[in-house]
Amino acid sequence: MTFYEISAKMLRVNFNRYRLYFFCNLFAVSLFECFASIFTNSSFMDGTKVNSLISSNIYFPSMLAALFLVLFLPVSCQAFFAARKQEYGILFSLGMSPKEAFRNMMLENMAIAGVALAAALAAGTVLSGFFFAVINYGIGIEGVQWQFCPASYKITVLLYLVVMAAAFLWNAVGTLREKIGTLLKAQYRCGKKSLTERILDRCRAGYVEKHLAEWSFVRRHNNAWRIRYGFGTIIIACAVTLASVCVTMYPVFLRDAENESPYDMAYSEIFGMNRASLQKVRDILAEHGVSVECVIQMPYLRDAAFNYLPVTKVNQYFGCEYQVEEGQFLNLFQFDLHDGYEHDTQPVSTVTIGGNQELHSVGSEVKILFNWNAAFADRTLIVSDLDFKKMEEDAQYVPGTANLFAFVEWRKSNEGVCAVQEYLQSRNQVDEAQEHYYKLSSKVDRYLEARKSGLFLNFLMAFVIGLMLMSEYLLIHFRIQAEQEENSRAVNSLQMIGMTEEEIVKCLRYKNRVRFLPPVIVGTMLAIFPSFYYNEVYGSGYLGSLVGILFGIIITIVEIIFVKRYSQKEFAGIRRLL
Amino acid sequence: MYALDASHISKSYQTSGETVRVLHDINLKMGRGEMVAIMGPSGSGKTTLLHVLTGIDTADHGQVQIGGENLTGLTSEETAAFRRKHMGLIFQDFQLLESLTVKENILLPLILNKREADEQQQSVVKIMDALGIAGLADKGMTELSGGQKQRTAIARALIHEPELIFGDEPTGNLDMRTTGDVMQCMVKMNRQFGTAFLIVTHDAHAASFCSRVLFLQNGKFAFEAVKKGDNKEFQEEILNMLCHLGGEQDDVL
Repeated sequence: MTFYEISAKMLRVNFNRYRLYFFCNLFAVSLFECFASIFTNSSFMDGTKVNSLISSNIYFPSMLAALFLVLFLPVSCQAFFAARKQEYGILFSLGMSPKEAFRNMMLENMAIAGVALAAALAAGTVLSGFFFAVINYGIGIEGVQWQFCPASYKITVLLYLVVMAAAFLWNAVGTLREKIGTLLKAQYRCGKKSLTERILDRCRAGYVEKHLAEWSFVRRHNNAWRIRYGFGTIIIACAVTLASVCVTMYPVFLRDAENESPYDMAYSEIFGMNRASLQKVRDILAEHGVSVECVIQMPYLRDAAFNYLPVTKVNQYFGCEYQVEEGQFLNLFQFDLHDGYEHDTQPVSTVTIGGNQELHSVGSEVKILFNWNAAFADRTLIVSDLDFKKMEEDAQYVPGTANLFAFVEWRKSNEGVCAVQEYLQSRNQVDEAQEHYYKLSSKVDRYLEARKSGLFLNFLMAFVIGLMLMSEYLLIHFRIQAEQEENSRAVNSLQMIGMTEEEIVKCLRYKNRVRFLPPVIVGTMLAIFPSFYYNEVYGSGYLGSLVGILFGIIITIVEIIFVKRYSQKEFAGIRRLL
Repeated sequence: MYALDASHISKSYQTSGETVRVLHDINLKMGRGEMVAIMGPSGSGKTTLLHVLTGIDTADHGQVQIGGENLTGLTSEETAAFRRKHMGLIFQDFQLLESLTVKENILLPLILNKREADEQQQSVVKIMDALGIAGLADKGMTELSGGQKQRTAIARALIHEPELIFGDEPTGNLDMRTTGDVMQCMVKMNRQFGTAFLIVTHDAHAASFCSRVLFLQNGKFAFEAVKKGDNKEFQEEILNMLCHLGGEQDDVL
């Protein structure tokens, strides 16, 4: 019989004790692989197929999944090593050398990590298939499909190996540095009075003594629990903040979509494209039950950098009162500064027209006058009618007309808008890539995209929040599992001095409340400020804080109910050990 | 040459900013094939001394020689290699691997010493027969009584035929009758294989099976008792000495 046969048998027989380590690896890696397979999916990340408003939502949860993997694997690895300490203590006492122990630890970890990684990649692939099904059928994003992306597997494997190697080395070296006597007695260590206990002693004299049986379970491994409380609190604070942001985000997306589209349909006649008579467009819309309330035909000029609008027409059509004299211009920024994004509103001070005439800025205006359209340049300047006329005569400026439509009922205009788009496309006769630049924009399309984006974001956030709550649970559950043998001895002692099963379950429930609830309560309190701050960007600070607090209260109630059942289950497990 | 030669061993710990001296200039010599017990009240430094002698812990001063080999200054790799060849350890709480059978637990030192399968088989059969646990070979740890577990631990400590076996309260978890059986086994192995035993114990009955008992008090050897008559007489002498030594009632009974 060789040592490796013995070692393999120990691993096999004890698999039940290590399964949480295995499942933790499986869980964290499969989730990251799922996100990696989405952000490496070429069709999903293709801006011509999926609006970047939607696809960009994937980065933040992917970073969280990576962070989760980076934080969580070392903790589970530590739990695995803690469970094996006594065995290594025995082997060291029999003469196993540090090198042999290191080699053995490495083989064990490689065996578990290898199987977990293979299973996780398979599970991640299935999960990403589910994700794409939700994206396609649940959210209604078309044109994307699941792909086999070798890059996603490479990224996942690389990240996993780096994290695992670091976690393994840290824990293996830590175990090797411990004295044999300490390893042999690893399971008998008992903590001193915790800070909480000392505070309770001061605030409510006699409280701890009254609950001494309960505290006999709690007063253990203060350092290990301090780290878990810290992690748990951060996780809950993030989850509560995300929940508050995601609840307020969805209506904000829809509101922004409406604000950014003052007109219900807009297209630009320019470069000889989108040439259609107004009557024809009206007829097409009418055929699809869309009544046109009014149409504005706004003349404009453009070059590579700017759209130029004549001031009189702007004032006439959009009800403005801008004063722009000859030789001047006004910077127009068509942004909503409360849409949560950063916008460049740095004005241009001078432009040259006709080769030698300089126009000077009279200031800038941030206001959305008409819909954004791909045919427009990024920046817009309002110039005097005289200068506009001069520019019209200059061949370097391309003349165009922005056709802006207002409908009686825009929410029912999707079919009509699509029909107009098809008609314009048939007349333009350009390839798909070019067509993108002349595509009409509409409020209904923007609204539907915003709805998809909001749903997708909520779906992702719900997934990430679920993941965070799960990780918080596992973080605590792992530790409780690691202490089960120790707790069983405590239970045995308490039974010996006459405590009933009911009283012991009560003690366990008390202990588990102390373990599960502080991160939820403190995390929720900490999340109030970021919930306010992030939602205030969209003008919903107080609502965000309220949603955060409500979400925290819900988790607390769920955990109180959960702890009751968990404690009973824990007692059943302990009873099996006795 | 001595089986064990420890000279000028001192050890202290830092506790809450205070230095506690646990062992003061201890000297201990054990002949080959000798059975020695160390007794003393709780906190007298018995287990610390045993840990220092076995290389589990290091002394602040002094040196330990086992079978003429100086353990002081060895690297962790060298200490491990020495321990696996020349030492056996028996613990109060057995320290057996629960995932392995009786036979596999006993085989561990041979496996670590990379002995051939045939040799493993012969040795395990021999030692299990000698200790009367041949019928338990394939049993798991949960199926054994305390006495059977300690016999298994003794078999594991003996199988690679070390010069010296250290026992840390080897009968601490056993009743009086089983204590007698287990100590009898040790005496038998001591006579059969010529292995030296050094045990730390609270139990005068267990100590009475040894040829010499050293009494530790406040980190120093206070008395020494050498067996002259039978076990019963020796046990009485030990109890008398323990009464002189003081300590808690538990330490004497």
